[in-house]
Amino acid sequence: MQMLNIKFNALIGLLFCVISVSGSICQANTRFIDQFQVEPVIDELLANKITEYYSEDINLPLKQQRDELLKLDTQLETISGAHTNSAIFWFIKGLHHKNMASYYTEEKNLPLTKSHMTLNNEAFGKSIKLAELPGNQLSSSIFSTMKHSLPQDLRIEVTKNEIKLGGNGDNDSYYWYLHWSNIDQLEKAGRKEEAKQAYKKMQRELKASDADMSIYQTLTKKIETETLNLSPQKKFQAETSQAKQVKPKKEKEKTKVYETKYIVILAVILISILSIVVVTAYEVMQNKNKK
Amino acid sequence: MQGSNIKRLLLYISLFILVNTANISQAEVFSEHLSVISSADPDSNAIQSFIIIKKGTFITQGIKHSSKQNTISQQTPFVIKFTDKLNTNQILRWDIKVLDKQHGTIKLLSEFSGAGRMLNSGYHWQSKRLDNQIKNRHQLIFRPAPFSHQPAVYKKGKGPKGNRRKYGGGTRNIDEKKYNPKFSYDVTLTIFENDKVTGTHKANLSMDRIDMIRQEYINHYDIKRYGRGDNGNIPIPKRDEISSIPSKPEKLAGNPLTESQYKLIINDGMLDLADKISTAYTDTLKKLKAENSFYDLHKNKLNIPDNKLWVTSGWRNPERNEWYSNAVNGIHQRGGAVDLIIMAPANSRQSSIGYWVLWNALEEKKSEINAYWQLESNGRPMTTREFKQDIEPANGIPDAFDKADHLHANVKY
Repeated sequence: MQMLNIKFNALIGLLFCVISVSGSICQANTRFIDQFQVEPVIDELLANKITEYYSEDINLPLKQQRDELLKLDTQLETISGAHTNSAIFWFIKGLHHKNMASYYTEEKNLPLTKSHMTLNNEAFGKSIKLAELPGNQLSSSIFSTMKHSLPQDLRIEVTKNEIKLGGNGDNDSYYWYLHWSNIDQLEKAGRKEEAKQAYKKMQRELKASDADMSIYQTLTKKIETETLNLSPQKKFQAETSQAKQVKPKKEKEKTKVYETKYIVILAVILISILSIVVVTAYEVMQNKNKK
Repeated sequence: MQGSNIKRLLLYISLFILVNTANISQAEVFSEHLSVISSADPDSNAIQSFIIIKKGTFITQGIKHSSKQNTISQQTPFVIKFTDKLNTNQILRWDIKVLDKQHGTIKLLSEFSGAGRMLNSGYHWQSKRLDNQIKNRHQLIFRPAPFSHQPAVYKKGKGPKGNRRKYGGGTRNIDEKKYNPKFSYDVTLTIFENDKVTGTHKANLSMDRIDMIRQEYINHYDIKRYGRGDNGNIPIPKRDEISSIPSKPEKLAGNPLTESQYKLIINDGMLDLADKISTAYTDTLKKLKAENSFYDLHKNKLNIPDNKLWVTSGWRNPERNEWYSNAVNGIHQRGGAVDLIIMAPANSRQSSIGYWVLWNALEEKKSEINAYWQLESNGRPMTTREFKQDIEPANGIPDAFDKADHLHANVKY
């Protein structure tokens, strides 16, 4: 009987394991680490659940959603003391408040939506400040997620960080649009000199990259005329500086090889002609002497 | 008389130098009698094609799931042809070497041993080494033994802890020498008569760019997207599915649907789709401007900015896709997907309104366009909730359009 009990317990245990594993497989695409490219500092299941609420359509009745969200809220509060200095924790906390605000919007509760958005911004603000400290690095995906509701000065900061980290990627040209966003935000904030410097930085990066300049000229022209409102003279200077683009190194090397080859062939031809002329002249001279 | 001899000698010397200099640039062509005709890969629909298949890998051909799929073996054979007439007492010896031109140097990778079949006579020969002597045969199907084609510098897209690391894998700039090196077979035919060498012929079969792209797909064949098994893998394109870059629709700005250095493209419907989307967008933009009746969620009239659509991504070869993509998206690698961005500063009010107009245009022309699309932010699709709510920021525009960083569209398979 005792043996049977042990077997039964083992079976239940095994089943539990299988269910847990298959559960985590189902949740694979809403994993915090996949979405934000860094390890969560808190319990992974808790972080994944908050990520799921943020990035997926939740098909649960509203009451059940509220219960789950409040449970997550309590769990976060319990562990908050241990993570006060973690940028990632404050990002997760902010994300949770965003989920709460999102829920209350659906419930059409405007005051609670607003208060959670305020809490969201405060948490993101803390996260951004903490990220300046060593060992607290955030990813470009996190910065990209945070920026949408932030006040302008913080949003500028976040966009700069995003650029520093190479942008969230996913398609080829988005990074340059992020630069454009940075220039646009600085210009709108009245930080005109910074905006011009940011544009110069973008141009430098474009030139250094493998990007096809003829394509991106349309973009840079638009930034000059529509965002920076540069005068025609300045525009001309910017265009000419673009025209002076350096050939890619590889192409240069290739051309060099071809040049050397043709120089060798040409030199051989010239030497041959010269030798023939010299020999013919020598022959003519000898014939004359004989005569 | 003495002078004319010197002249002749000089002429010969210069001619000799000239011929040898020319040979530097055309090292592949050695003999008019010996040629490596093509791959005998029947499913690559190629005049010249060979691919080196990863050791122990069986692959499924065809770019579309719906197209006829054939399994080819792990070796891709090619045909060697010798057209000069031989005497019966002459003996041929074949030497075949595979060369790797990685890092600009030619190095011998391996000498092949294998088995082949003579075409004309139906004579079968078996040999452990390819330099076995063969008598009076004109064509040989050579079936190379499988070996691994994995560039030494290839980095997998995994971080130190095994998680997928963004910007960690693949190459942004496709350095063909480094990441997908060009391989070639050097064939030497030596003719013996009474144990003496009476002639040597050389020929070379070198991978072209199409072969290199196909090989890249093989190297990345294990990447799964839609589940396990053959259906989860990205199909290896046939040769005629890889073409030169066509001109893109006029209404679209941006890159020419590929920034790959191969200067080739796989277009499995993405160009047509981009054209349909841009037409729908510009038509709706014009209509809304004329009507002047586009309102935000608080019933305030919105000014519609005149922003074009910009192609940020079309076909991505596997190496490039691995660099860029957060999700390993098979459809971009099949040339069936296109990413479009509103030509305005990222996440600005102009871009938000632009995406809203674009979304309306697509919803209106749903049946005409007949494709799948989604607005994406940071590599994930926007949720239904984000299309309804307005909290970040609360500006009268649904969050989905404020947050979107591009529209992803793909053809239906």
